[in-house]
Amino acid sequence: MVGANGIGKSTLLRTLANIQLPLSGEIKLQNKSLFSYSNTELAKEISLVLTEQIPSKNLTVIELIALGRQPYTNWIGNLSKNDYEIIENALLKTNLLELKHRKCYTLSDGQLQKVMIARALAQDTSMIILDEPTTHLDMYHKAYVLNLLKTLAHETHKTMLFSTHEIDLAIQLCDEMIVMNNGCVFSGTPCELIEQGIFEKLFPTDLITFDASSGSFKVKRTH
Amino acid sequence: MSDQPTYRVTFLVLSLVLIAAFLLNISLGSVAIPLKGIFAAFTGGEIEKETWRITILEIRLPKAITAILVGCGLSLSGLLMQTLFRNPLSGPFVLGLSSGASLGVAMLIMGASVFGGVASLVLTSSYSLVIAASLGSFLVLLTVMVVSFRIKDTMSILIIGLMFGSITAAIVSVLTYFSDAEQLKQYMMWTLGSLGSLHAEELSILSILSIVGIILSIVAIKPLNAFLLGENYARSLGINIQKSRYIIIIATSIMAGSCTAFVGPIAFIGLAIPHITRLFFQTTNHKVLVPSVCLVGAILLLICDSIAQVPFYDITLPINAITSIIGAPVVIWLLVRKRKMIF
Repeated sequence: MVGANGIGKSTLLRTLANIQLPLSGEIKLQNKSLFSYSNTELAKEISLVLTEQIPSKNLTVIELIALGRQPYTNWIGNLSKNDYEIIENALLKTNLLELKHRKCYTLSDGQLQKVMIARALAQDTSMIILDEPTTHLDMYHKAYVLNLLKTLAHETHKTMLFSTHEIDLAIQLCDEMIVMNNGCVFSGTPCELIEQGIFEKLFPTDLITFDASSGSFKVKRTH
Repeated sequence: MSDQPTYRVTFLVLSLVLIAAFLLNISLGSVAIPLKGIFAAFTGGEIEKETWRITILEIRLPKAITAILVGCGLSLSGLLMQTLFRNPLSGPFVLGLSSGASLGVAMLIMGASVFGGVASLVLTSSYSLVIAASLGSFLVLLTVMVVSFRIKDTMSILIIGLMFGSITAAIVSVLTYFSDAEQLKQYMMWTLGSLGSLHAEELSILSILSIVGIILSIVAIKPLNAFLLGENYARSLGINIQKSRYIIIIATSIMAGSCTAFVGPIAFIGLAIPHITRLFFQTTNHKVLVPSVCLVGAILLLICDSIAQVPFYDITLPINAITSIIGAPVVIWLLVRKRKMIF
């Protein structure tokens, strides 16, 4: 999901994730209204990776990921053998095995983001919603995280819905894109969207223009 | 599982320390009573001096049990507050619950003079003291709860706690102008805190309230762990935020309110114990923290009380002074080590 600052990407994601109420309209998940789901049912369908900092960074990596199993555990949160296998698998898939006993405050932003993705993965939902998962990351880690999401989506058959400002990377890595523009929303594969010239209208054209042949934005030469 | 550290040994050691601290607490005092004498008093066997039996069963045992219950209650309420308000500096003191209780007691003791001599005699019995303190802390809690619904910012809630502290101090200083020395002394004695003034009946009320608080805390273990990620994540994990908040706040107020009401405001236990326990166990999992915070809190308050009763001398120091002398440096030390203060 891409769009200019302030267009409402986060608001839409937060509404879809049931963090805030919709202003109007209806949200359906698997042909069922989002509001007819109970808390626990919804927790088994949608997991989140948000931009907000977690309050307790004293958690170890494995403790944090284990919290993703809460919708499935009993009243006191005991983890079963199956839960441990899923946690281990999430660690493996996100390449975090050697960090699993580290405290979160010792991790870099990129590592912490991977941990948050692993936690969402351990929640074992059909959909993972991520709000700008690549902010604060360097160029390599931006590409790494988005590539990881693509791999995970294909391997685990989960829908990964995320907002991002990395339009170039998204065009290269996403299966489908939602482009939010003033008043209208477009969706389709990156190729279709380029052919329709959707990206040209995304920003004011006084400074940057979209180059359809390379699929990226270029700064206009000015004198 | 092999990956998760088990704390069985640590728990066993702590339990043994608790028993040792309990026996030490009973044995020490104006007269030292040997272990043999303590067991004899408990089992009703032959005892060296018959006065020892009375000393132990009627004075020292209730006091030690009070110390355990209050240590548990205050530490646990501190832990719940720190997690709920996502602030490592929360505690019954900081949130203003103790101030609320103090205000209730101050109004009762010193405000009673307004109603004249007869009324003041009726009003200042020990039960009305407890009721006033409970009402005071509950009132503060209601305010905090109303604020927490309106304002999501946890910092504001703490500031409200601080404001209650100021209001209490101000009202108390106004009341001192209108009250005589006797009433002032009575209020001061309450603020200094005392573990030894509980009768059997009061002790059983405190026990029941503590057990209710502990049970509610155990029920809240899972949501407490989810709250470590913040409320949005907790909701996405299927936690009923509003209900969990209610349970945690009610548990906190029952424990902090009843402890403060019966023994006076005791500083630093609620704030420092959860941090010491986290340092000790190196975990933030509430399944480990809830029982361990109870153990550590009980041990520490027993030790503080053993010091306060000044072994071999016929004097007793105020418990609040001892916990502050021990607790304040601990908090400062934790802050200096900075990283450890995060929770």
